[in-house]
Order: sequence, then C-alpha cells, then structure tokens
Amino acid sequence: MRIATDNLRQWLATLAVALAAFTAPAQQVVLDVQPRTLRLNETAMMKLSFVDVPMQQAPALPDIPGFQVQFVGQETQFQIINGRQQHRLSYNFRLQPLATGQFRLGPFTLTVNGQNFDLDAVMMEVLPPAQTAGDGQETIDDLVFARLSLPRTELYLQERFDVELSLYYRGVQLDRNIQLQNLPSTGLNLDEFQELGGSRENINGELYEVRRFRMRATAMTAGTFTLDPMVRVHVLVRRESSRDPFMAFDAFFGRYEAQPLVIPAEPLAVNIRPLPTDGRPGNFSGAVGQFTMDLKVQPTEVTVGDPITLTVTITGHGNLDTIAMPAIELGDDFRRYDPKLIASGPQQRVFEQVVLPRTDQLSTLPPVTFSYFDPQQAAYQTIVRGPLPLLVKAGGATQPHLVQAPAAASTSIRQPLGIDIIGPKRAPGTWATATEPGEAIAWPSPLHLAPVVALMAALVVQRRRDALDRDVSRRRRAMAPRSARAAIREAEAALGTNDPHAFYAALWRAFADYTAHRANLQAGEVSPDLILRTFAGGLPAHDREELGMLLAVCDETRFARPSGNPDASRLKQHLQSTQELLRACERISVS
Amino acid sequence: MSMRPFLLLFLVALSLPAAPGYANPAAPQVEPAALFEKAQAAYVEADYAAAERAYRTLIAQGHSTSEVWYNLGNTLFHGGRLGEAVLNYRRAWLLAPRDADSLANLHLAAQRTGATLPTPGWWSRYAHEASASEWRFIMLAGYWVLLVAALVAVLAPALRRFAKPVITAAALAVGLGAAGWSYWRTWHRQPEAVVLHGEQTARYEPRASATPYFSLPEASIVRIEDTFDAWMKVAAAGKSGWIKRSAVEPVYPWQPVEMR
Repeated sequence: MRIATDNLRQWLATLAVALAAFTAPAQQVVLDVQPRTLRLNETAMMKLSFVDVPMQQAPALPDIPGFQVQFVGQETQFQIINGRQQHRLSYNFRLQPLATGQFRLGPFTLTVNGQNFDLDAVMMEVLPPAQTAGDGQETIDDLVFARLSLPRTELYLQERFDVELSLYYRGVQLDRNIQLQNLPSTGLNLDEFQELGGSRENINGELYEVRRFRMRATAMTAGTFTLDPMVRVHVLVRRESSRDPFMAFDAFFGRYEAQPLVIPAEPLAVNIRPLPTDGRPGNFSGAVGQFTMDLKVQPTEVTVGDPITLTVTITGHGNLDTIAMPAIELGDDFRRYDPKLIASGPQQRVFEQVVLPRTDQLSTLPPVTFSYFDPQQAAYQTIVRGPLPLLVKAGGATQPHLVQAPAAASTSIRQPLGIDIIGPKRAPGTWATATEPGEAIAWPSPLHLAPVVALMAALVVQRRRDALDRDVSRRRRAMAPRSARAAIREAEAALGTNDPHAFYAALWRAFADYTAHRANLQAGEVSPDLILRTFAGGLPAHDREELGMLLAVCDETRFARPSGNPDASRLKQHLQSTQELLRACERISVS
Repeated sequence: MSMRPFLLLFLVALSLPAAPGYANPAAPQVEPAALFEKAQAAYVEADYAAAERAYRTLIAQGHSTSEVWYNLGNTLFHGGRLGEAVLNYRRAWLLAPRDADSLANLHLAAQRTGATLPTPGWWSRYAHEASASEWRFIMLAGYWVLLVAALVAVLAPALRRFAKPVITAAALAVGLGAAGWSYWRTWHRQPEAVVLHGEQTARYEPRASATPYFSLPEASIVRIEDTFDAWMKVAAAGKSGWIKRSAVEPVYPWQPVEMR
C-alpha cells in the first residue's frame, strides 16, 4: 500500500512539473549575431527572433554605428517542446562592416504590442582584410591547433569539474568528425565529450574558427596527472586533377578528400589533493561540490504512531550521484523507515524518509544535517535544517490499544521497537554427517547407468520376440533345438528306467520334432526318408549312415517291439550318436 | 521381470556420495546434540565466544548443517563481526535456500555495513527454490522412475497406458531437476565470497599501487573470478576488480579456495 502511495506521489510530482512547463509564459525576443569577429570584407548575419510574440511586420532597426544594415528576409519555425507548441519568427539582417575596430551593438529595448523586451548588447570586432599570398613560412601548426583549459589545476579528490578543449583553425577546411585520443585512463573518470558550439577568435591579428568541446570529469585518485590529449581531425583537401576520362564522375563523388591529421594539445598538469582531515564533520559522507539543502516535513500535526514524511532535496554541482540521505538524529522517540531516493537528476537529488513518533512528549523534529566539502572554498560546509516544530497528540479513542492491569502497568518498562536478527534455530532432527554442497554438484555414480542398460536389453529382447511373432518359420527354427533337447531328456529318463521302447520313441521324437520345426512341417508329415533327405546333403557319409541306422532302429523298436533285454551300452551309444547328429544338423541350413 | 533388483539398485545409487565430506579427523568426537545444546546455552547467556567455539567444533566434526552455520552467524552478529556473520548466513542459505530466516538476517547484517547484495534474476530465483542436493535428488529420482516405467512399458505392453503418464511426469521432474542442478554447478564454478573486514578497495590490477576502481563495504558478497598470488579478482554490481585475498573468504568450500 505504501509503495503504491509513493508511486502516486512521484507520478503527481512529474505531472506537476510537466504542467508547469506547459503553462509557463514563454514570450521572448532573442538577438544573435554570427560571426562576431570578422574581416572588413566579410559580412555578419544578425538574427532577431520572436518566440510566441505575434508580429505583423519586420521591426525597424536604429542606425548601428560602423555597420550597414540590410534586411534579407524572414523565416518561421514551429516546434513542439514538452507537448507545448512554440512559434518562432526570425528576421535576418546582413551587417556589412564599414570600418575596422571593436563595436558594441545595443543594448536595445524593443516594444511590441505595448510590451517591452530588453536585448543585451553584442560585442563585435572587425579586422582589416586578410593579406593575400602568405610568405610560405606558415606551418600546419599555425593553421590548426588545440588548447585545453580547466577551471583550476589544483583539484580535490571526488571533485567534479569541466575539461574544455578548443580547436582553432584557419585557412583549412575540416569535416565535422573529430576524435579525442590519449585521454588519461587512471586517476580521472571522464564522461563522453560534447560539442558546445562554434565561434571566431582573433589571435595575433589572425581570425580563427573555433570549435569547443567539454567533458565532465571526476577526480578519482590523489596525485598529479598530466592531460595531453591528441585531437584527430580530417582536413578536406581538393583532389588532384586527373587525366581519367571518367573524371566527370568526380562531381558525383565530391571533389574533396579527407586527410587525417593528429594535433597534440598543450599538456596540462592537474594536481589532485586528498580531502583534508582537519575540520571534517562527523557526518561527512563524501559529498564534494557546492550544494544547497531544502527540507519539507508533512504533516506537522500528528497522532502518536502516525507517519511524518521528510522530503530532503539536495541541489547543486558536484558528485551528486554518491550522495546519500543526510543524517538525522532521531533517537528512540521515533520509529523510522529506511530513506528512499525518489528523484535524481544532473543537479538534484531528492530523498524521502518516513518517521513515526512514539510519544506525545515531542515538540520538535530533530534537525537534518548535511556536510560536504566545497573545493572552491577549500573547506567543509555543513547545512542544518531544523529543528522544526511538531505537534504530537496522544492516541485517539478510535485507535486500537492494549489495556493493562494497573499493578502491571506500574512496573512496566517501555521498550523501544526496532529491527533485530531472527533468533537461533533448534538442533537438526538428525546428526548424520551433512551432505556437502560439493558432493551434490558432482556427477552421479556410474551405477545410475544400470537402468539404461536394462532398458536397452529389454528393448532387444522385445524386438526379437516381436520378430519371432511375425515370422512363423523363424519362430519354429528357434524352437527346433529346444524341442530336440526336451525329447533327449525323455530318452535319458527312459534309459534310466531301462525302457527301450520309450527310449527309441523319444529318440524318434527328437529327430522328428526337430526336423518338423526346421522344415516348418506338421509333425505327422515327417518320415525317416524325409529326415534323411532334409539333412543328408549336409552330413558326411558316415554320419548319413549312422542317421539311417538310428532311424531304422527307432522304427523297428517302436513298431516291432523286439523281445529280450536291451544292451544298455548300446542305448547309451545311440543316445550319444543322436545328440551328435542333432548338433551336426543344427549347422546345416534347410531351405 | 521383477522390479525388486531395480528398486534396490535405485536406493543404493541415490545414497552413493560422489566425494567424501569435509571433517577434521583429528577433532575429538563429542556427541553433536550435547554440543549443540551447550552452544545454545552459551548463546542465551550471551557468552558468544563459548557459543562460537562449540559451533565451530560441530563443523570441524563434519556436522556442517544449515542450523549450525545459521546459529554461528547469529553468534558472530552479536559479536559485531558482521562480515563473518554474513559469510555464515550465506553458508546456511547454501544448504537451505528456502530458509527465510538466514536471508533476513543476512540482509540485516549487510544493511548495517552498507553492503549491496547480489540481486537474483528470475532464473536464479527459480534455482534458489531448492538446494543443489535437492535438485540432484529430484533429477535422479525422476530419471529412475522414468527408466523403470519405460522398462515396464517395454516388457509389459498391457501396462503401457499406466506407464505413459508416469513417464511424462518423470521426464518433467528430470528436466526441472537438471535445470536447478546445473545452476548450482555453475554457481560452484564461480563461487561467492564475502568481504570479512572493513571497507576494501577493488583495484584495476593485482598490485597495491594500482588505481582504485570501486570500494566494497564489509559483508559485501562478491563472485570470485580469478586469483593471482595474494590477490583475488572479484565481481560485484557489474564491476570486476582485484582485492587482497586475505580480505575475503569463499562461501564454499568451507576451506579457502585455490584457483588456477
């Protein structure tokens, strides 16, 4: 809720500023003459501008000594500035100098529609005409040079100051682009440079065009620093004539070319001194510059516990961006919120602090104190605002309050409210050695790959199973060894019980089921001849004979049931032969 | 296929430490609960030196829990050692980032010294919802559930319709867990440190005569970018500069860090 109120207040302040700008009267008349230094054979332009002043005709000018004045025309300009429309009507006059020397134009008083406008005087200097054909002794340094200037060369730490660079040139043409090089990288914090505008200056009888640049700088470190910037400009020179048949195209691409020229400015030493410790106020927090402070308190009549808003505005030049809310000794009689910076600009910083009186025994709000170091005075300054009268009433009937028994009230001690840390924690539930954060960020153990391996295996198994489900002959091919093994086990069991009939029946099943699965046939379709035909091509001769013999014995025993005791060693030999033959058949491909 | 072996393997894998924890084997082992109670009693009696000794003994024994770091921070706060208090609150926060108490005390201590704390962006705020070990657990638990559910879906097609939502939820858990976990891995690559004593001046270069760049009040939390001899390159509020290594202590590891 409080944040919403703050936002609304800031928004209303902005709106008020905007409305003030919108409704402010802006009628004015401006006189400007350029250039103000010229030669006798040159002319200057005088511009008389009427901003939001209705004009029907050009004003009549008085005689201007030393100049012949000629009206050359008028121009009209509409602008919308901060939502406000501005109308500017300018009358232009050509000034032709009649003599050399210094002249003062004005001051003038102009009366328009009964309203008087005062115009400041303008100083002009007229030089004799330039000497033609130089003696050839001039160097480029005479034609183009740069000068550096500072407000002072003795500065203080954290002081904000302007570095001004002026570029002088005559007899050459420069393009608009310039670069500053070799600026100091330590000790001084330099902002971007900006161009202030142009003028002309008379130096030793020579007329120079001047371009001025300014950088805002802050002294960051104590010590002596040398500023020796280099200015990189581009001189426009006429292209040399060429026999190129396409030279006519030069008109399209310009007859001038820009040649870079680096001009060193005269070095300037700056001595940055630390802030003095003598006389430093206790509440000094690093502000360096020239400042004023304004304090507003609202409301000044409150009930105990009601908020009072202190608005502190620091205005001035210096390291404003490092300035914090000035000190105020509130003691325990006030509860306070943290100060907030609610507005900040190049020359202003506005803080707001909310305090709440805890008692109705207060009659004043303690003073707000702001200390800064003034580098021009070389001394610390302290601004004090307050104490301010305050009327604090006891809590009203409608305010929630605690009622305490009289006996307890007599011994109660008023404890000031405040902010403190949250108390200690109870012991943790378990005292197992704590997991280190370093362990938690380590890559997991390779054991975590186990489910991936299992999943891959399952996928392979499932894929094989699906393939067998789709292909009957393949499935039966896979079943062939299993069925043979099952029958062999039965034969082994029959061997154990000495039952030759069951033994040979099992051996027959081993061959028959195996062959049926391999050849994808029904079990009833298999005969000894079919078995021999199926595998004979892949078996060696003695295996073929062995297989024929075994199949014949199986047939004979199954159907003829021979009498007498069987020879157990013969049965074992037949069992072994059957296993070997089936293994040999497994290696034979069946079409 | 039985799931019991996978369940067992999962539990074993999650409980596996990747690296041994820090504990001082030379320190005599005292019952931690008793030591904690002793520290609490000393704290209540305002015997902060005794409380600090007891808490530090617990840490030396490997019981560096969030509660111990936090209470040690409180003890140091009352002793006026605000930089060290912030360091220990930050360590408590590292183990339990959702604990509002350690954050509140940390902010109060930093406010007392005028230190500016790092402002987390939306990504950091998300990752601070859980500690590194919690994110790791979420990621690995999701991973195991995902793979076991996928295994079930492969081997038992009849159960696929039950497995699908489980796989989706588990994949989400893996993604969220991995995101949070990777944040903390990045955090550990450029760990934080706290300015312990006084106001420190960060310089452009690692030498005492280098030009000062910006100042760091006591209890400032900075990021360690590099070290060089006795100097440490730290970043705070978008600026990087060199300060004396002895002026700061890393939040983690609990012992001073060596880089390069």
